[in-house]
Amino acid sequence: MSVPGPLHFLVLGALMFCISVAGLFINRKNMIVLLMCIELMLLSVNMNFIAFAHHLGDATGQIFVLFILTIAAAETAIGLAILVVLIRKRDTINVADMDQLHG
Amino acid sequence: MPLTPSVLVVLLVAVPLGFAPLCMLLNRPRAGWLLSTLAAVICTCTAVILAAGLADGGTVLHYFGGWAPPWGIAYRLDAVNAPLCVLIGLYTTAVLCWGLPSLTRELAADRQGVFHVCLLLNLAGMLGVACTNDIFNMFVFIEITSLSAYALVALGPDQRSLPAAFRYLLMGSVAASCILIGIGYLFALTGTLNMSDMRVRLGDVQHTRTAVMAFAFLTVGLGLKFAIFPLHGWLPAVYTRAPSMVAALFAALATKVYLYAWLRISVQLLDAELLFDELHLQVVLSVLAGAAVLFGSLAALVQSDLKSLLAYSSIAQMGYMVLGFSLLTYSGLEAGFLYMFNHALIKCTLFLAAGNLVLRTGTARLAELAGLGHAMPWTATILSIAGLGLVGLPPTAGLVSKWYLAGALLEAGQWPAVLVLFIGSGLAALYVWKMLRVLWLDPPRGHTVVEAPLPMLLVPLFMTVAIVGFGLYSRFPLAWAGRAARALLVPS
Repeated sequence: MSVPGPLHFLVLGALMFCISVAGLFINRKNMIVLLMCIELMLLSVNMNFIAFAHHLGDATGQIFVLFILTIAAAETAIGLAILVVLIRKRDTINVADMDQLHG
Repeated sequence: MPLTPSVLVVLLVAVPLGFAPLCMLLNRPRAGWLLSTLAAVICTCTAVILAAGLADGGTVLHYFGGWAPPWGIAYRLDAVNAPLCVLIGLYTTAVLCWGLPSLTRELAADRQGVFHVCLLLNLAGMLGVACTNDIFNMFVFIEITSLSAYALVALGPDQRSLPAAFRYLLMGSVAASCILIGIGYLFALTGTLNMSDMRVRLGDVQHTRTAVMAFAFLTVGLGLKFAIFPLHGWLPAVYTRAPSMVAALFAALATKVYLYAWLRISVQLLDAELLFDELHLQVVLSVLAGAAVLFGSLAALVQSDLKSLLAYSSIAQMGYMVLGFSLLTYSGLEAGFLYMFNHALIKCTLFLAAGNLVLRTGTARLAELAGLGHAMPWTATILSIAGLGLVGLPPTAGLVSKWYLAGALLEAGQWPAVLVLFIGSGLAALYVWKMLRVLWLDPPRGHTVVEAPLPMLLVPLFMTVAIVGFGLYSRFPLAWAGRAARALLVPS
């Protein structure tokens, strides 16, 4: 069995990205799943960064991953905070309900 | 430490960033307002000093920690971004001076501290995006701007502000991922993040598929942020449901800063002409921009809410700007920058005046605003004159920008785009007429409202004078647009 190279990790990253995009479009039930998809999308980007950094033998790419993780955490925190207030007010996390409120 | 230009560039970002935690610690509504206004005034003055120094060309550079490029983070100010910093400072100051009564009405006192923290972070983020010369640093500032923007929208008075903010967060995060992938590819290709250094190293590898993909991802990501059709889904709800102050600020600045970032990356960092050919982007962008103009204007026509009418009109106006920039010629870029300048002024004025109506009536629904022109004559006059600017009628600045845009399009032989420009202006005339008819001609609904308080009138009134002033005497914005276009096309 061959040793996984940068291409394998890039393909893995691309697959994760596709799953998250599919999740964003297909999911109509649960807003938390939307947040998870966003998180997965950022993780797939991280995978790219780490693969590149390893391939180039440069640690900078891995340092960026830490920055990106921090930003992703901040985003999720804000998203969850909005959700909590929304649930308190509307008692629902259904995406369809959000669309009704939209506009 | 002497206040040399290179120190002033840092102050520009450091002042709002430093004032934000101070606001949090004080957590008093009035003190928060004073602090953020002070920070905005300091930023404006600093930006004016810097821009005045750069009027004859040249650049200001700052290397953080003395690390020479390409190792450290560098800030770089030139004829393109120095005036943008002035605009960012100026509009934030104007909106803050206008907004205290509106804020008091729309937000509980215990939330106003947080509001000012977010506003300052937003200011710092936008100035950072404008100043930085490091592409990863630019991403971080884009995120600072966006994260604070989500919170600002979520603070809106309407129950529907929360879904609007959530939608904005989702779209913004997808955009952030796309921007990151683009930056990652460029980093993998060149091994550097300093934009000047990256430009040199990209010389031989411009045409590789990696560079093209990076550009495509960056265009989609930033396109989502500056709301080019069909990636505009977040914009109407955000402009409609955010607090009036935030809506005015976003209308003036939010999309423009990202448009600047896209221009900086596509024109100055990458070889735009080559990439535009590779991706047929000139055709794609002008078709999308034309669709934005038509869709935005038609959608604005059928809105029953003043703020969402203005929001859809913003989508159309972004289309005009992209139409100019997509030409990649000197006159196209000049027209784009001029449009950016004038539209920021006109749309901010309109949203401020709409905020005045919301302050007195509590709603922006057109049906509820019937006949208010007689009760609030000053606000309605401001809306009328700025509305003329939106259509592009004399003697307003809107005419000047449309005139130059049409000139640039004709020069490039883009007849269909000129046609779209005329149709768009006709549709704009219809939706502005719809707004004005409701305000002036419809019978009043028996409201007992009075004119908005003085500061809320003075700021938009002053801006209306500027709209007419720049319409009659447009040498100043034209000079800036020309300098910016030249600096973009011939980087030093």
